[in-house]
Amino acid sequence: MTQAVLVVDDEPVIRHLIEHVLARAGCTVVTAGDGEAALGVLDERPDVRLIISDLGMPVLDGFALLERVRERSGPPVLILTSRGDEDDERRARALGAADVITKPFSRQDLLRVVRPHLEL
Amino acid sequence: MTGTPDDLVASTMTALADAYDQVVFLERAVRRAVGATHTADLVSLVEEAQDVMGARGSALTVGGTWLTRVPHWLRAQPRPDARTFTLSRPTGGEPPHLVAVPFEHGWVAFWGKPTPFTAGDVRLAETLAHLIASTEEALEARAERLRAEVEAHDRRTAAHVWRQVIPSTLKVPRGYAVASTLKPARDVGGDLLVTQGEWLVIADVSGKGVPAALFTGMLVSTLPLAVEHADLGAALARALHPYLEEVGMFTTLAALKLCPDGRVQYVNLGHPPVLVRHEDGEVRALPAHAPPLGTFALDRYPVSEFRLRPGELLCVYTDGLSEAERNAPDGERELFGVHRIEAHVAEHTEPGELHRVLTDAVRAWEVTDDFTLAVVQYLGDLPS
Repeated sequence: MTQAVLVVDDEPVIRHLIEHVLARAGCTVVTAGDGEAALGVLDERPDVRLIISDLGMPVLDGFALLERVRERSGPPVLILTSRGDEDDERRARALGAADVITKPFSRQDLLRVVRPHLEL
Repeated sequence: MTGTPDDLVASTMTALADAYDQVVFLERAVRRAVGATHTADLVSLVEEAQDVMGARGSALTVGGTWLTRVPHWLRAQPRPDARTFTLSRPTGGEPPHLVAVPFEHGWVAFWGKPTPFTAGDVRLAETLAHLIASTEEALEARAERLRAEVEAHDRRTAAHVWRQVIPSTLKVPRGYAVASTLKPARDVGGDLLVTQGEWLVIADVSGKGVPAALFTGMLVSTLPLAVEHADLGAALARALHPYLEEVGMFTTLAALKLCPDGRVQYVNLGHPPVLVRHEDGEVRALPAHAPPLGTFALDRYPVSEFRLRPGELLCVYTDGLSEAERNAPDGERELFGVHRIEAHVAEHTEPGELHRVLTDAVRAWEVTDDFTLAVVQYLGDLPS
C-alpha cells in the first residue's frame, strides 16, 4: 500500500516537481494550491500520512494551515521556507511543524527530510 | 521522444527535477568554493556533482596531480582539448559515456552514467570546472598572501631582535672620538657596529631576516666573554663557527682594541680593509688576515698591533660603502671602491667631517646593502 502525501503550494511548478519526486519514490501524492483547499483534501483523504506545505499562499497561508492541522491532530506537517528566513522557521517550529525544508532544495534534500515520516 | 502524454510529462518533470537539482547544487557549490581553504575541498564538490548527475565515477586533476582515485584507463588519457569526449569501451571497463572538461591547470571528468550525459550534465560539468579553476586561482592567491604575511612577520621579528641587540649609541672607549652610521638596507640588517669595553667591533653577517638577526644577537652576546681571551678570533670561532656552518652563513668581522695609550690591537676576519690615517696624511690599509667566521675555522687567529698618535684616524666600514655602485660613463657598472674611501680619508683630519664627506659622496651611488661607517680619532691619553 502506497503512502499518501499532501503537497500544498500555490506555485504549480514547485507543487508538480515535489509530486513527481515523491511519486517516483513510491508515494501517492495529492496536491492543493492553498491552505483552505488543503483542509478540504484532508477531509476527503484520511489516509494522508504527511503534509508538505509552503508558507506564503493565498486564502489560508502555511502558518494557519499548520495551526488548523494541529488542532485536529492531523498528520505531521513539513514546512517549506526560504533560506535566511529564520523567523519563519522558528515560528513554524513553534506552531508544531515536524520539520523544515529550506528552499532551494534538491531531490536528495527533500527525500532526506521526508523519509523519517514515511516508510520509504 | 516516444510514449504517452503522461510519459512526456514524466520525462519533462524528471528533466526539470534534474535541472533544479543542478541549480541547487551549483548555488551551494559557489558558496562552498568561496569558503574553500585547500584544493582538496574541491574534491567533495566533484563527488557531489557526480551524485547529482547520476554518474558512477569522477576524477579531478590539478597541476598535474590527481586529487581523486582515478582508474588506469582514465589516467592514460591526455588532458582533453574539447569540452567533452567519448572513450571506446575498454574490455571489462566503464561504459563509454564520459564528460571531461579542461580548465587552466587541470581537468575534471565524470563517467559511468547508465544513460548518455544530458546537455544539462555537460553544462554542470563545465560550470563546475570554471568554479574549480577560479577557486584554485583564489587559493593560490591566498597562499601567496599568507607567504607574504609570514615573511612580513619574520621581518618584523627580525627587526625587533635586531633593535634589541644593536645599541642605539656607541660607548666610545676613553681617549677616542667616534662618528658613525649604521643604516640597514631594509628594516633589519646584517651589519653590526658595537663597542665592548675597549673593543670596537664591526661585522657584516651574510643573509637577512630572522636568521641574520638571531646570529647578530649571538655574536653580541658572545663578545663580553670573547674579548677576555688573548685570541679574540679563536674565541669567536669556537663559539660561533659550528652554528654558522650548520646554517650555511658566514660573517666578516673587524675588531679593534682601542687602548687609552693609543695602542690598537686588531683582528680582521675577511672584512674590508681598515684604513689608518697618519699625521702626515698617509693612509695605510690593514687587510684581512684570516677568513670570515663560518668559512674555515683556524686554531689561532693573528692579532696585529700598531700605535696611533693623537689626532690620527681609523676608518672602518662595510661593503655597503665600498661596493656602492653606479653606471660609469662607458656604460659599465663601477664600484665606489676602497680607493675612493682612501682618497677621502687622506684629505680630512676631523672624524665628524670625514664621516659627513663620505656619506655625502656615496649619495650619488646606489647603496643596495646595509651601510655602516665609523671614523675613529685618537685624542690622546686623557685622564680617566
